[in-house]
Amino acid sequence: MNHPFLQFQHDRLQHQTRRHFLNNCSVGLGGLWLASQTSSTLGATLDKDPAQPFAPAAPHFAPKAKRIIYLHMAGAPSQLELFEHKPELTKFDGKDCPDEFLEGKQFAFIQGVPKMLGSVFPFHQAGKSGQWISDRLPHFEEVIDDVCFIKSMWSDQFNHAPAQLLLHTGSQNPGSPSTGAWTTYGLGSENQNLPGFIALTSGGKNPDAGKSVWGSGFLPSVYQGVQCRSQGDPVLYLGNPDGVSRNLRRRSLDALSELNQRIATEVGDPETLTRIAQYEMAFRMQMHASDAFDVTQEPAHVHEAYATKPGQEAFSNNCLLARRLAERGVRFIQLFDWGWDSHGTGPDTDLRQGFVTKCEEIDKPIAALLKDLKQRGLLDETLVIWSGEFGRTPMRENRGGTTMRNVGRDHHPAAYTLWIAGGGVKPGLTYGETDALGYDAVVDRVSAHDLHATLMQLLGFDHKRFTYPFQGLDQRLSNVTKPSRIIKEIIA
Amino acid sequence: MTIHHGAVCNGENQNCVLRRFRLSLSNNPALSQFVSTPGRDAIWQELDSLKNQYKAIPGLNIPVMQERGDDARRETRLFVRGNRTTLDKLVTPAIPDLLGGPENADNRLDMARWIIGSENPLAARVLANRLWATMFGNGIVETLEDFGSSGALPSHPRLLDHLALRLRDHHQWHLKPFLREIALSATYGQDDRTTSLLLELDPRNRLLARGPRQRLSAEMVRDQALVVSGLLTEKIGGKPVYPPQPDGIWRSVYNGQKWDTSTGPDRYRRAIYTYRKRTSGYPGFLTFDAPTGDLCTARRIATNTPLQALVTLNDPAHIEFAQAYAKRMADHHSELAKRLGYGWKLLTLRDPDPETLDTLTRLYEDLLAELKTTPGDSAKLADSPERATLVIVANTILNSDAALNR
Repeated sequence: MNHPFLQFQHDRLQHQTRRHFLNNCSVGLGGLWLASQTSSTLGATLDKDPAQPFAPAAPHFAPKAKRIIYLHMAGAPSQLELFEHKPELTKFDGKDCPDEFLEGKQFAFIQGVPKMLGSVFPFHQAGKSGQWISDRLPHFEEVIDDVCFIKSMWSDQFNHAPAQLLLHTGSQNPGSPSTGAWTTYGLGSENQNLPGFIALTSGGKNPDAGKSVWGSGFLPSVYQGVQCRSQGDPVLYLGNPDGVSRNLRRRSLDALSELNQRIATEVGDPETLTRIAQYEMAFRMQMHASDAFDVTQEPAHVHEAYATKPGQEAFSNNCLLARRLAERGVRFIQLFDWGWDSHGTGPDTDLRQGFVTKCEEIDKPIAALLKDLKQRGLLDETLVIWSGEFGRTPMRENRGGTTMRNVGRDHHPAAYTLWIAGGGVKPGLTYGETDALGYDAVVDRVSAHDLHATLMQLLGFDHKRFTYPFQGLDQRLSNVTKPSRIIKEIIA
Repeated sequence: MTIHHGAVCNGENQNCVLRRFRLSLSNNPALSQFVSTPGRDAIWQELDSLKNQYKAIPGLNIPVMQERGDDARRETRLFVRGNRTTLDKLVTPAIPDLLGGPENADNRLDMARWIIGSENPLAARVLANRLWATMFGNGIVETLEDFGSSGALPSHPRLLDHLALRLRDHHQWHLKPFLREIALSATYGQDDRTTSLLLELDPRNRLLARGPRQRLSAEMVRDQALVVSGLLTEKIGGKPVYPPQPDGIWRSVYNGQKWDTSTGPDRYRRAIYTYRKRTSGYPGFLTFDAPTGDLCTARRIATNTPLQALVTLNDPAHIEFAQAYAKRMADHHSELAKRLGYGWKLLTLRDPDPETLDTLTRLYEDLLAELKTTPGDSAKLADSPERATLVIVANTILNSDAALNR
């Protein structure tokens, strides 16, 4: 123990343990913390409680964005039917795919020599920025000048689950913390009466990678995303049981507090006092969360703008909820919409049918979300990100080596499009390029790790210094074992 | 000609690919004669019926690890730069040099023997440390998962060695007597009450000047409630069960697997029998820091959050526990003080002190006054306002610090 290095290492490991870790969170509450005091409904005493893992904390430097809304189109939407205008590809439509695209490549389902497939929909330039877009997102076009496209995203995973994990946790294997977990770990949350990291799903299925995409990995489990529902209790177990009124609940919590106070005095364990505070917070959360998720408070024109579907589980409802949660200071809001896996194995996954419906389902809500955030002055401090987990092939899928009745594209990790808006990102910019046929990202390639490094930068963290020790490594979101760079060119 | 295969497809939109099969054709008349031999059909039928009889024998399908016979082994080769498609030289089983094991170990049994053998003190230390942590909340080596150079140093190295030797040599790796020894120790038996001075000197109780106090694990929260409510099904083993969980959380991708909520005794099995799936853990457990299974987790870091409060206050499963717990109290005696005292003792194994009893009695009276005026609410909890009141009191007791800690 006398060896200084061992001593240092020991001290640091001590810091990993819970009490120290929680203590850490309350240390160095900087400007952010003070700023939040004015809007928080909490008393100062609670905020100073060392056992508040979500106490707002100061990042390394002044952040450009305070929160993130991530719209993930699970299944991977076709970039070639939305944002990637490739006239060359249209010329080659129906022709055999050149050998150099196939040699040494692995596809999920394509076999033999597939045909090239030009975009199924016409493209045009839109907005003052003149960015290319297909005719599938007419409402989104109205906000295209607020959006920065990254056309050169690439992945090295060609199956959904590992690709989703890579994009959200920086590793294709389960077990690493998600971006949202890192964010709430680093910044805490501005609203102690709501979970700091909320995941909402639509499309009838959970993402392929399961809850790991909003998991906390090796970070303390308190930072895992809280999956909320747009039907029933939004936060699990939020509502009092049948027959227990809020009045009765209040009375029983008073008695509980009395019991626990007595235990605290007798035993002297500070954790008991924390528990008392947590139960009070739960009581407030019941009210605040119900309020946050009560979209009936919104006027009719807002519902119309978002094209909400009251009483159903829908992406549009989730977009409206995302805005309401952002307003209330939720740090990270992650939306997953399932059903974008356009293989062309049936009408649902046909680019001319199911895909069209999916586009209609997201077009108005996303446009409304961006406009709404902007109008409320929230877009400046909120990053909105849209993407799938990879792209789709410039070739038409030929499952089993045959021509299929429906038109679809296979998984394509070599290139995909992601857009990002708000929070310190240059609006109206197109960054990165793919080759003429849209096969490979060739100019300014961006990996998931580059994206993560950039997101951390925007949130005010030096991604290389924002680490957590695990398995002998100072782990970080941008993955310590992989190269990563901050995409400075897109930062305003 | 059509050939049918019985391979199962993986989900609705995945093609099933037969990777390797052989098709032989022959125009030799002996073959068709052989196929149509009179007795042959009967033999196949007999085989089928034997297979069916075999299948009908009840038993569990538990995979058992077994060394393959020499003829069934496959070659194992190094992957160049980890790429499974570029194979390098052939390798044979051995213990990695790094671990310093014996040189001639060439199968799992040799390795297992070495691991628990007298030349390797690590296994006993690691296990003793984990068992110690189970009892005390903290390991002597705090990083249960890491005894290497990046792990923490032991707080009491000689104690750890002593425990390791007791476990290995004296108790011959039997866990129960070893745990009993710890449980009966003066250190474990200490009162968990603390003073501000002790808290300041040793906030995390590393020096064990007081008894251990820790929050129940996710599984224990459920199991304890099952025990005190008298609902617990004590059956051991068997297939996993599906206790209630909210709709819209379990939504399996591709395979259409359903969460069919268990009824009858299976509804009240211990937490370890709850069906676990890596992509969709049981929500009540995840909230109480149960790992997802994504990573091998030796150590859980207990948290204390409002979401946990919501689980034990409102989860319909926990309300069911409270109802049964309340019924037990009510059936025990007709007098309120006796009912509450009995309930408290079931949970804490102690009689409540007068103040606690007073708090609970006042709570009962206030709740009852209100529930009497709202018979609709009362009926949702139990069949009389008195019993309904007792349900909320039971729920309150199950949420107290006395219940959630050990």
